[in-house]
Amino acid sequence: MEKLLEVKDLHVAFPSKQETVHAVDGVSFEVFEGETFGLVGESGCGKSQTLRSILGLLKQPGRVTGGEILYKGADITKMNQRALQKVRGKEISLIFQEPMTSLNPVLRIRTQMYEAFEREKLTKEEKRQRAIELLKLVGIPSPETRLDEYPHQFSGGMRQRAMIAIALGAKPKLLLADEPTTALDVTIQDQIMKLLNQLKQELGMSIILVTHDLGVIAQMCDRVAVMYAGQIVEMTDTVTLFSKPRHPYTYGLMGSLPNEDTAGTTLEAIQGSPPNLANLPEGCPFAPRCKFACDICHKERPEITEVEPGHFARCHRPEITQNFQGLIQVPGQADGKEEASHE
Amino acid sequence: MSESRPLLLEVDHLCKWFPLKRTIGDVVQKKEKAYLKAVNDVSFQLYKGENLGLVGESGCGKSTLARTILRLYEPTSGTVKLNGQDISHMKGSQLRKLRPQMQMIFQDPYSSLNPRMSVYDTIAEMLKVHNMVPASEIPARVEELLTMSGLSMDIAQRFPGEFSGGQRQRIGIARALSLKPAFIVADEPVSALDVSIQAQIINLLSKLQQELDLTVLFISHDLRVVRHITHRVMVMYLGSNVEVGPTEEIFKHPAHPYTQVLTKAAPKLDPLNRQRDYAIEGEPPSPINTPSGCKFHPRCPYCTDKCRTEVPELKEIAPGHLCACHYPL
Repeated sequence: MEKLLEVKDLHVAFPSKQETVHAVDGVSFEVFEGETFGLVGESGCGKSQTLRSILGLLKQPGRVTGGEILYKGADITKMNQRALQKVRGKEISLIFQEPMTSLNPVLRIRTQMYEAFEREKLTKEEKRQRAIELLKLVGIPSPETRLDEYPHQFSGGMRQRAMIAIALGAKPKLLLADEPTTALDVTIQDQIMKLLNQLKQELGMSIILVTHDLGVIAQMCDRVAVMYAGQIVEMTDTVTLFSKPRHPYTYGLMGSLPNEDTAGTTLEAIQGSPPNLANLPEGCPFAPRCKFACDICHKERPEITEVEPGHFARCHRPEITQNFQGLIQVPGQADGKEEASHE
Repeated sequence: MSESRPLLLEVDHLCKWFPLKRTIGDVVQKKEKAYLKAVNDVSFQLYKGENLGLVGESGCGKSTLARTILRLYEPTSGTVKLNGQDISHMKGSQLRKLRPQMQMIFQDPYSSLNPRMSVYDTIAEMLKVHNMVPASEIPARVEELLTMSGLSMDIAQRFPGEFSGGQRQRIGIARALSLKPAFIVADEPVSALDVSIQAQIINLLSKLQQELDLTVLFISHDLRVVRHITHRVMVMYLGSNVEVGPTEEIFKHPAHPYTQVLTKAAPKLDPLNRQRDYAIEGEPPSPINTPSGCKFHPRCPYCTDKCRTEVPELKEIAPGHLCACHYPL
């Protein structure tokens, strides 16, 4: 598979008079053609800022303070607005979390859709045909009439579909999706996930999916990076992550999810709350909440290491994490180790 | 949950309709008054010490039902009985006396606390207004409540803005418990929180519920949480309850096609199992012009002619398991 996007040691900072918040602190990952890559983490872990910096869309006063974002070999962070404009939409496109606020309420859906293929110099009729096709593709019934309506006439799920249609307008190679289903009901979330999976297959796109929901990750992603306090703490393929997590944070997240068997029991919650990004502890940022933390964890920042081929984790204690049992068992894999760490 | 427990709350054919605006044209043409039937003919019982989950898509009337029961809304018709006493038409001082018995935990810990009141004042105000304890005992009671919610007295003089979402939700819980209510409505208490914090609050809620023998109406759209914490579940669709039953039975053997869809729609935490075997088409219709017959019929895969014309009654299909469907699964 071709490498489509490569993020190398990305740093994003939000300076202010009192303090500087390092929202993204040395993030590196790669996205290959035709794959869905997930970024998962809690609010404030830097996952959305990582995504936004790919398109140069950081909100003020945020800026990229270090690192490279290579799209097909060209560094996006060094591009001027003109060059960026050529990448946006045509090559890389973005869908936002809130379909309620990210469509313009005073413009008809068609006007907002036509913007996506403005540069192609189509005739009015061609534009309309193209827009109708796109709305059909994302499953909006009677697109001919829907096209002339305003966003308020659409329901939440329909707006999200319309937004996906706009994002696909210029046939991007890479779709960035920032919590695309979070604001929707489960039944609608189910439909949108199905739609995105199907579009990926049909159009051969890559997707970077940002979410806080491990369920969405499990259902959609090929590879995943787990983020905590601006850093990637674990990165591997989805099946391995769910069967053999190698970072105490990932393991803790899985333990804190209620499931079929937990009724009536106490959940293994992670204690405490995420650290203040302007004032991180000296050692591992997760150490104050980690039940396996020892002296070195409080003193030194761990580096990200390859604990198994293709499986990266940022933890000082691989001898403990190797006994973690995930949420699923992979059939055919001999289960040599006992479920030691499952109390 | 056992029927042997005493009945705490009885809701009988409760309706809450909101009148829609009529244009001058409608009046001239003598059109009938139109209503948004947010809650339409809902009946159920809540037993003492149980945790009843209330689930459904957004806009199905979950919150309106809860607010009508708490008498934050005036019911259009039907009755609500708390400990055998009809509270559906109480007014003024009577209602005020009733308030301490029923409290609410809100969804959004950011907007449900007054940013200009310290934690201490937020909780002490409740105690003062309702004369729960003599003034001299207020500090002790506040401390007790904060400890109970996993906070300490050190934070009492601080303001909500200084806290994270999880801590604010704990303050909200302490406030709801301050009047020793018999009945608590928890309206999406963990939806706004991060996963790791969510688990802490879920643990706190279930601990408090057992220790204080609270009766809880737990509203949530997250079925994993509902399955974990509740004893019984009620499913609502377009203002009516379509199924009620013990939690495990609802999840293992859903009888209403809508319940089946809901329980299967939540994404499974298993990347090896990606079959979206049963997805539902379409979205809930507008509650203003509800479909005839069974309201779910336009989206139901098992729909027949009978469903299009006849409204199904809520019937008992197994002990304690009620379902409103002509052809329960």
